[in-house]
Amino acid sequence: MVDRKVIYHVADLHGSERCWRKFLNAAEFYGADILILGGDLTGKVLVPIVSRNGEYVGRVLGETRRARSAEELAKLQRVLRFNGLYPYVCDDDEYRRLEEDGSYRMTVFRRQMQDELVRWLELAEEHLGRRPGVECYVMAGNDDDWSMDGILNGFARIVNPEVDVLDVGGGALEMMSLGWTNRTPWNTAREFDEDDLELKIKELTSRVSGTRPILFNLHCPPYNSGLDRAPRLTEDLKPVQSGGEIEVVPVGAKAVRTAIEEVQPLLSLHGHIHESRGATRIGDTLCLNPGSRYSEGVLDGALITIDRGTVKSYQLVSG
Amino acid sequence: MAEDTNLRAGTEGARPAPRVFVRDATGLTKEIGVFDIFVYNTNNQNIGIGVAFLILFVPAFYPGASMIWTTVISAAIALPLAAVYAYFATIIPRSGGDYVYNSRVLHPALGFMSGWNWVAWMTVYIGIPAAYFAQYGLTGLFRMLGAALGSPRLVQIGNDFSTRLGTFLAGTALILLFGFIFWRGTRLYFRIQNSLFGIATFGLFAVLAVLLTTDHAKFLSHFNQYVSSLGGSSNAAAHVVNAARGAGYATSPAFSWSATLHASVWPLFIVLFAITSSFLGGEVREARRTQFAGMPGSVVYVTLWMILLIALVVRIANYNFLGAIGFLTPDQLGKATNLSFAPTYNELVGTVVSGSAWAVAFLGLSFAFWTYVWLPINYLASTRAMLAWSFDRTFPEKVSYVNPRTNTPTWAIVLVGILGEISLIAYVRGWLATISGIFGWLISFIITCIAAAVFPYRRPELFESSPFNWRIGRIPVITIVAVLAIAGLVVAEYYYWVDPFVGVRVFPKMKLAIPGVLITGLAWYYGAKAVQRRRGIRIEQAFAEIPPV
Repeated sequence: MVDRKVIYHVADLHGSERCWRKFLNAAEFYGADILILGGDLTGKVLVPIVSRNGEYVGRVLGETRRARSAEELAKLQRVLRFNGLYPYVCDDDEYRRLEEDGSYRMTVFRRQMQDELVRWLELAEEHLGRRPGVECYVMAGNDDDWSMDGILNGFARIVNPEVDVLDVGGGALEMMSLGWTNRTPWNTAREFDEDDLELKIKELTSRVSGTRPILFNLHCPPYNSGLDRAPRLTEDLKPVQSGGEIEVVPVGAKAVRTAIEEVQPLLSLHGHIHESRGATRIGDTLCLNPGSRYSEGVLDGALITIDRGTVKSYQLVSG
Repeated sequence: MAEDTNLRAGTEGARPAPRVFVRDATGLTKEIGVFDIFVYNTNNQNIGIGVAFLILFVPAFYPGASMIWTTVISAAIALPLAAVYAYFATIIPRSGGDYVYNSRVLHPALGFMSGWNWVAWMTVYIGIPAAYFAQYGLTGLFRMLGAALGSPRLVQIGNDFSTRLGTFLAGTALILLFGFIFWRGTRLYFRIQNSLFGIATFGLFAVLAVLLTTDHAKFLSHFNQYVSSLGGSSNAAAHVVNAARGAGYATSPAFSWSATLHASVWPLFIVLFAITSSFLGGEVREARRTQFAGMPGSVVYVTLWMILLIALVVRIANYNFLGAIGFLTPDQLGKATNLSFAPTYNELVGTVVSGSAWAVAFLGLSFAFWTYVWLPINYLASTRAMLAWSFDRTFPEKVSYVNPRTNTPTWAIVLVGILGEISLIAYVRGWLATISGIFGWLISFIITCIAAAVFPYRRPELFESSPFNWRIGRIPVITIVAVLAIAGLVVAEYYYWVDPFVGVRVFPKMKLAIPGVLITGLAWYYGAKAVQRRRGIRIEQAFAEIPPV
């Protein structure tokens, strides 16, 4: 039987350093034993800060910002990281190259993502190193470049559970993890057709022993579960509005839903659809999506207490 | 390389400031444009019902008030409020509204109380629009159709809808219908709402066209003919004015600033609600442009529409006639015209085209949409708020139960429907009037404005990282705007309290209900906190900020 364990689950930090720093402190704050970050670590926006005529110029959410000293530059970089944006200091020549050369732009972007992730993980090593009783699982999601896995695998205090079935909670639970999703309109790194996704999930479920309570850690929420409601988009990716409301439609994966219905894990944790924060049950399985408001520096999470093989309580929190 | 296509230049800015670069990633939708925000907020402000109320009540009960000036003053009060919400919408997008702003900036208990207050009054404005649908929508529609088709039966049906029983039955049917639609899923609702909103907007243009091509003499002639066809006098317009004079209505009153300010309760009822797009957001956006143009901009847009329609209705019907027809009680009106319930501006305009059943059917149906439009909007928003509370554990888990077949929150829908029905009964029984609940609702607005005023001091990091960290001297601009908004809301609250016809002071039950809602909100929060603590859940954690390492 599982002794009492408190799980803290989040997803979709998208480069927000403030949220990452909160995540690292969550075990202490909530009294959690197990920390899970269920995908989408890296940011979406690179912000060039261009050195021009003795000052640095960059844009923050549509607003031009200038820094005239090293101190002001550091402050500007902090502000950008706070919002989940990657600052990149360069001169005008390099900025022009970024504008014109897509390949170079991608290289720089990827390097920034990798460097920032390394910095994050070093911070985690230092902080969690002082808390040996806390387990910390961090995996990539559909928006994360494949190169992130190698980085995640290189740190002792962080376990990368991606595409794996692991014992967690000191062997009290069995956790199956996958950061992949079904297709999105954005052609992201880890998205697949439903059939391929189903095959991969089946391959993983075949490895689940079933001798302990099962925990699904799947980035993509189940289809039509209420945890997967996103704005319906036009072909040019604009939300559809109908009579005073934004239309929302289910966008989760049918393969995920099928797996939950068939395996009936104790708990199924999801992310991916930021605006679809919620809880629901599919059969006996409690399914949670904590949502995400990373750009506000708010860390949306789910706190779950497991006691003797059952979910004793859960709560969606905004930290 | 295929990867090249995964990056695109961002849409933010242009030279000389460097652009940002956005990689393709989930959720990066295009900004909802200024026009969309206009539509969204315009729909929620409700031009049709706003003009109807101003014309029905202001000349009748606020003698000497200028409908134009009272609308302009209301817009001036609404603009700082819209700016406060546009500000929050820009820096805290997609946040679930006041509940979250106030929890984070002020205190979780205050956040819950303001959210509770908001939802309580939202549910009141589920029942009231359901009644409007019967009283102002169906009554006018059936009377106009009856006149056009020469059917006394239809006229009688129209008049029946304005009775207590008729209003209750039609309102109940509408609440049940929307409860069913939401239970089936919001997709059906979106489809219906989208179509009807288009018809309603087109209806406004049709009204405008009739108004522009009609003069006073033509209107009087058509009105008399219309009343005559309903079995009333052939000189009804004159009878209306004479009957009103006899009942104490003073025609041709001198302009009065005091009356104009008192009358602002009616347009404020409309333009203060230009803030609903604060619930929309994207991730990489130019929200500054869209929300600031969309929220305060829609106040201006709706104000201009209202002024235009009011001016044109006054031009064809004249102030004395409008005042007189609104002044008469249903009995007095019935004796003078055979109409059981005062006609809206739409019905008055409809008299001009009453020869065509198609034209009056279109005008009647398009206006009927305006009468109930708040019902589904508030129904849906209340349901969502209850789900959020349930997830935070301040509400029972059962409320967030989702029906596996329809994937809709059955119990939340039922609960909101019951609350809406209670408000319908309270309205029909005369325990509350059209706008007497607004006083209570505005308390949530005031709390949010207080949160905005102290935001730069309570959340300096978020404030500094926002694109609106402007200051005048050492005072943040948002603090100044929020203080202006609070001042405007306090003025509005004064008039919502003292109004001699629909103010809180003339409704004893409202005097209890308003503080009662706030107190029960606080009591619920602390009660839920105690109950959940025994289960090992700490409600205060729902919004407690984790200190970053």
